[in-house]
Amino acid sequence: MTKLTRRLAAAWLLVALLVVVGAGQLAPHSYDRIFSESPDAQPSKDHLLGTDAVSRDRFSRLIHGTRISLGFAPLGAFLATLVAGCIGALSGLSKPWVDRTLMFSCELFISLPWMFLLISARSLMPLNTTPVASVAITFLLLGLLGWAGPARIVRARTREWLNSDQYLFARSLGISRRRAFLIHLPPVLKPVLLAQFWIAIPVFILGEANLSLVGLGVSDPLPSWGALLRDMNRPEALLETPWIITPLLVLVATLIAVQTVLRTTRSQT
Amino acid sequence: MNLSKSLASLLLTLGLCVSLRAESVLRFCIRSEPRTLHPLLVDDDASETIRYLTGGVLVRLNRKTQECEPALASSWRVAANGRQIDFVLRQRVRFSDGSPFGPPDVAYTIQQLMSPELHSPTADSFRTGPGDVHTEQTGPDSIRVTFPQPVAGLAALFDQVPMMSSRSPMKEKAVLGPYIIEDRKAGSFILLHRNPNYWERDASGHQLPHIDTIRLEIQQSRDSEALRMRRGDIDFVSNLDPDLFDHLVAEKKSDLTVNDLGASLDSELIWFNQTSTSHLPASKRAWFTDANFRRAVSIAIDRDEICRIVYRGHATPAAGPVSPSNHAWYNSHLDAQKSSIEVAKKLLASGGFREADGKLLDRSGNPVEFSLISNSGNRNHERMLAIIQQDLQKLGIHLNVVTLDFASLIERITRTYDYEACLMSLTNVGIDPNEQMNVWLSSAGNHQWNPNQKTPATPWEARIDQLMTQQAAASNPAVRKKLFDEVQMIVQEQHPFIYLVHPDVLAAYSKKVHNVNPALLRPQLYWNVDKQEITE
Amino acid sequence: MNSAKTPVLDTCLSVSYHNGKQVLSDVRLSIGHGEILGLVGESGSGKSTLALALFNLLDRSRARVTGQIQLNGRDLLNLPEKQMRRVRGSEIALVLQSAGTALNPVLRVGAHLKEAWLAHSNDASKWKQAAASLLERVCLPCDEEFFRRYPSQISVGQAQRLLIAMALLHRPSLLVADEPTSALDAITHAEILALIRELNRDLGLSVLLISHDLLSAASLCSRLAILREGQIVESGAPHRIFAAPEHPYTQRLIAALPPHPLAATLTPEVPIAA
Repeated sequence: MTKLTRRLAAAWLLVALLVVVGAGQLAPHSYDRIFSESPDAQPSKDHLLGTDAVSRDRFSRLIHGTRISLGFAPLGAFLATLVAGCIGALSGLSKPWVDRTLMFSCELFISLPWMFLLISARSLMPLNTTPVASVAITFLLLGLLGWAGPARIVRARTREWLNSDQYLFARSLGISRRRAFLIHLPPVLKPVLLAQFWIAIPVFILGEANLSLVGLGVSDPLPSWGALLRDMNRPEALLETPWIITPLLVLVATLIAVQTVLRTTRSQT
Repeated sequence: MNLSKSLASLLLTLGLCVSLRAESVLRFCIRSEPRTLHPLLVDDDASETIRYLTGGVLVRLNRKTQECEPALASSWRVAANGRQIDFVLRQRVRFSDGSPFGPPDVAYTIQQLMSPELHSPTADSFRTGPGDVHTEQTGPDSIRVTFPQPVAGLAALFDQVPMMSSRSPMKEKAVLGPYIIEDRKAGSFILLHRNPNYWERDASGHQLPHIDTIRLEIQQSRDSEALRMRRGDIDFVSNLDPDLFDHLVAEKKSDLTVNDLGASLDSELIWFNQTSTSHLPASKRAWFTDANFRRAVSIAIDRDEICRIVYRGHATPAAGPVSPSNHAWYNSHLDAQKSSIEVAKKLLASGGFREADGKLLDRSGNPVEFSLISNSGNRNHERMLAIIQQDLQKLGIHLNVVTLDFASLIERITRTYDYEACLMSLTNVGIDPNEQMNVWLSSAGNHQWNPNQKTPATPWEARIDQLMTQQAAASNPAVRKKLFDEVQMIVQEQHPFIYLVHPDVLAAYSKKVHNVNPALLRPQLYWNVDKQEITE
Repeated sequence: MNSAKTPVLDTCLSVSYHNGKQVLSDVRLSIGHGEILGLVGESGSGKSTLALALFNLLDRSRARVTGQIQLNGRDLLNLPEKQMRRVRGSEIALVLQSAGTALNPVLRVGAHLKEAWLAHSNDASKWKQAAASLLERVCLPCDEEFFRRYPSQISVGQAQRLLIAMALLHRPSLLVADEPTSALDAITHAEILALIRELNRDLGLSVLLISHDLLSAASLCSRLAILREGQIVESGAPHRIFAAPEHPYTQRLIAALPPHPLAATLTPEVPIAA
């Protein structure tokens, strides 16, 4: 990896962060303003990425969507990873019956009819939820729902570690179980948890888009990456209007940039 | 006989058939698996398609002229103020399985239709009052049906009632329509083959239908349907999305005819929840039951903008429940609301609403804010919501839009009444106001803003009840028109439904299908399928 | 502390898994003060289970341990975990095959030593002092620069020495070395064996050397025990075993040894370790 790539990645993330913080100042237009004279317009000086089907400025919506998705998805991912880490490690370290109970609830959790439960969740929420609150609730839900898969991975890693030389050697020195967990387990689980965290972010960003089918997620007019990606559901339209692919490119670029910066910091330690 | 030998001879026979004449196949998509194949239980589009293609009816409504034409009945006569109808049946007609068709089959079908155990949705339009329906054979080929109360537009209603055999062991699978179901694969396709016993012949005496096979592809996504159309995999698309339609027009494909047939009978509309059992806060119920409030909202919505932006010009602003395409019943004195924020503000001010800091407040100072639900996955609805949201913002009303999956939406508007306002499409299959009985009567289930009322909640609803009942019992078309015109006037005054637009019927069909005569009424492209032909 | 007569370790040990598999049956080992006992067996013979059993670190939910483990006259087998923890590292210590997997890659050398020290001491400030002489003995540098390194930044030989230093920090009387050299190159291998011999000689440390390598074990140990399928089939002085193996398995083991390049010049009666 060249220095240039790393710098580019860091710069990209800096810009993304800037957008998250100052979307309102950076966007040339409001995300919900309808420029009624020109729906589906081509890119122009006024509308850098043209306008969407309802004649709103695509560029401004991308900026605001970035703020919503990049602002909330990592929080949801963090929540899911945190819960997965706690439950997975606890399950791995506990007595067999606790372990079995926790893993059973994990399986159960994964096999539950989620769409149905989400629909119920929506029916419990008042209809007059502000869009921002709705986003927050959505990512909170995703966070609370997304733990079961990662928890199993964390548990497997914990079990593996309990049979490892590292644990055995520490115990043979007379280091107590608790102390061994405390000093040795976190670094062992860190790469697993980090991987789960980074996987969860794009999954949640896309998941949010699907949740709009049941009335959760970001509701109009507030944009999110997920909602913007849904605009590209016609593959043949991409050839005629290639600029509408920009949200996808931004998403991919951001994820790559994060990975790049992460790898750099890791190799420096 | 040895198996391989018989297989070989079978293959030989098949090969001969193919070489003699290639089967002509018509292909198009249905949106879902048909929920039922019983002709009297049809309640969804896909089942309706099967019913139309396989069912034989006494009277057929010509979708183009909107007039009734003889089918299995060679003639009919309505008598006793619309309480009684006499049919003279065509002779020597046989069901697809060979069993003969005659007056006992009509009697059997009517008895099945009206039977309370069957719960036939088709029967609703025949039930105008208490009492039983009687049938009486009046000759070898004639039968009389008598209703307890007059039924307006009686003959046309028989367009929805396919005759069933009273004798055939195949029960409802023995049909009289142009096609029979030959094969089906769940979730994939339904194959129909021409009914060898179909009664109708063309002018030269050739038996109809011309097309041997119809292949119905089950395809949920409109995008995929349009893509198939462009690839030439299917021959018909009758309800294109506006932007897909524009793409097809722009492509100028030489083998396709792409047509905007004009305003459909359907309408897009909004209504406020006025039910008394819902858990709405008192302030909101007060707004929603205030006609001035509803009118102000209606006037604030820019219908031209919706037509232009959402439908790309392929829609007509709506003035009321009847589309201008419904020539017989459209009330030409009504005009679609011209959007005017000033007028809307005046209306609100007269109702005690006032504006502060760009927010609309009601008499007690509550900020006016409400939610509007609609079904998810419908691009047109989502776009309309965005425009309505912006229009109401100009009045200082904050609108929260929520798109729900269809089942949840129906649950809310028909059972829990846990909603404030709803945006939906209202589909009209027929042109007669009688078919809207279950919408307008205050006691009806589809009286969406306040369904299933024991007694009308408002004087104007009582008046609508009265007018609708009167028109249903009247036989003079001019009298009925006058009565229904008044219903339309009341609806425009009171705005229980805020009608937005009538979307156009946007159709495309392959040029290799001949004799396509697109109509505004469903089924727009294949209503005369028995007379259509295919050339390769 | 104990009379010279009491062996440091005296076991009679059986281990079976709950699925019914017998891993060790009646394994009798006795190690005297300053003695190095070699336990030789191929992989799967139960060597590592034995090491774990000695430390009471077998998963009791899966394995059943019976018999006795006498360490300096005290039975470890029924010792409560709290007391057993105090025994581990202070009376009996373990060195493993691969330092790479035994050390925590994100913990610095100094932190490793400190953790080992704190296992049996409350005085965090004294770990350097305690480690200094030991590090010198195992030929490791004793400076801040070394303490600051991560395991990945020291050589394999140094890492193995660090394991030994950590194991011996609290001066245990018995060192269990489970294949301590099999992951090492030939030269480091020899160095580590030499180190163990030195520690045995200079500190009077008793050693249980567990190995699959008959030759290295013979070069280091005063007595050998041959383990096969969980049973000790033969034991005795290397000299005796090489000269006159009794059990057919031992005979096969010896026959399978590669011929010494200089074998022709050596008399068969004189084995490698004299």
